[in-house]
Amino acid sequence: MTEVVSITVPAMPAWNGVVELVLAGLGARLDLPYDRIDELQLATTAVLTDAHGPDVRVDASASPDSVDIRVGPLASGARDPGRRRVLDALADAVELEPGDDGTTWAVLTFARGGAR
Amino acid sequence: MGSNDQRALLVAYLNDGDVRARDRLVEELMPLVRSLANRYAGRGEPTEDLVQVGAIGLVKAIDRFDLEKGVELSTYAVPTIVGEIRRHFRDRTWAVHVPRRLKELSMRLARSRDDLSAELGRSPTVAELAAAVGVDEEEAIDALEASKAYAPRSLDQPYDEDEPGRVPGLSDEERGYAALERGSVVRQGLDALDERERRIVVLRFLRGMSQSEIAEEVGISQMHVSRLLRKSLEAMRGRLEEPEVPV
Repeated sequence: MTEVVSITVPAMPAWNGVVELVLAGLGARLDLPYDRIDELQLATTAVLTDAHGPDVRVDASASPDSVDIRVGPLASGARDPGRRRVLDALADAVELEPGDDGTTWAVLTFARGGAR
Repeated sequence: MGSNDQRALLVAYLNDGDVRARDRLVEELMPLVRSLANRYAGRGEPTEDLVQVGAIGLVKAIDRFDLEKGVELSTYAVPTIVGEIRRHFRDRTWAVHVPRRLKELSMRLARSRDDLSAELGRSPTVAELAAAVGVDEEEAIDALEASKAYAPRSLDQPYDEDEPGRVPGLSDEERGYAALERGSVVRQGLDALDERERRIVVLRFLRGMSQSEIAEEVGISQMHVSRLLRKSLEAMRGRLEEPEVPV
C-alpha cells in the first residue's frame, strides 16, 4: 500500500515548521530513524526556498522501500549548485520534473533502510 | 571623528600595535553597537548583555579589518556585531516560548537519542525514543520539534522575503557593505559559518558522515549536530542566494 500525505502551505519560511511537523509525524509512523526524519525535513525545507507562487505543496508518499517527497511548484531556471550538493548528500535521489504550466517540481527519494 | 581620523587609528593599531588606538575606536563606535543591540531588545535578553556581546563583535571586526579594503570600519563592523548578538541568542535562549515541560522532555530525549544511538549502533526511531522516556510518540515529536526552536529561527527571520540578504533596520550604507561582502569578498556559502559549523557541514555533506558519526567525532550531542546543520544551511542559503555582485 502506498500512503500519501499532502500539505499545502503559504510559500513563506514561517510555514516551514508546519511542514517539518507533518514530516516528523509521517516519519514516526513509518518507523524511520530520527536521523533520517531530521534529514528528510532538512532537505524538504531546503527545496521550499525555491517555491514559486503564493503556495507550495508537499506530497509525501511512502512505499515499503522508500519515502518520496514531491515539492512544488518551484521557480524554474538554474538551480543553485551549492544547494544541489546538500540535497544529493541528504536524499538518495533528487529529480526535477515538469509540472503544469511550465512549473518545476522536485522529487526527493529517501530509502527506508536507515540513515545514510 | 572623521573617517580620516578613524583610518589613522586603524593604521596605528593594525600596523603599529597601538592598543590605545583600538580602545579609542571601540569608544567611538559604541553608539553603533548600542543601536544594533537595541534592534534585538525585548526578546528576552537584557539589552546591556547584547551591547556587551556586540562590543566583542566590534573588537573582532577591528582586529580583522583589512586596510586595503577601502570601506569604512563602521560598515565593515556591522555584520560582525550582528553576528555576535545572534550567536548570543543562539547560545543562551530559546527563540520561541516553549513550555517548561517540553523543554525538560526535549532534554531527556536528547540524552536518550545519544544513549540509544550508542546502544543500537544506529539512530533510534521516534517510537524507541518515546518508549525510552515514557511518553507517547506525539509527545515525543512535539518535544523533538520544540527543541529545534532552541536554534533561534525568529532571529533568522528578520531577513526580508523579497531581499534575502537584507537585515531590516540597517541603513543603506550598512546594507551596501553587507551586499559587497556577500557578493565580492565572500563568495562561498561556507564563509558564512564559523569554524565548528564549517567542519560539521564538510563532514556531513562532503565526507558523507552521518549525524551520529559527526556527534562522536566533534564531541557534541546529535541534537546539537542537527541544530548546527540547520543553522548552517540557513546561513549558507542567505549567502548562496544573494545575486552575484559585479566586482
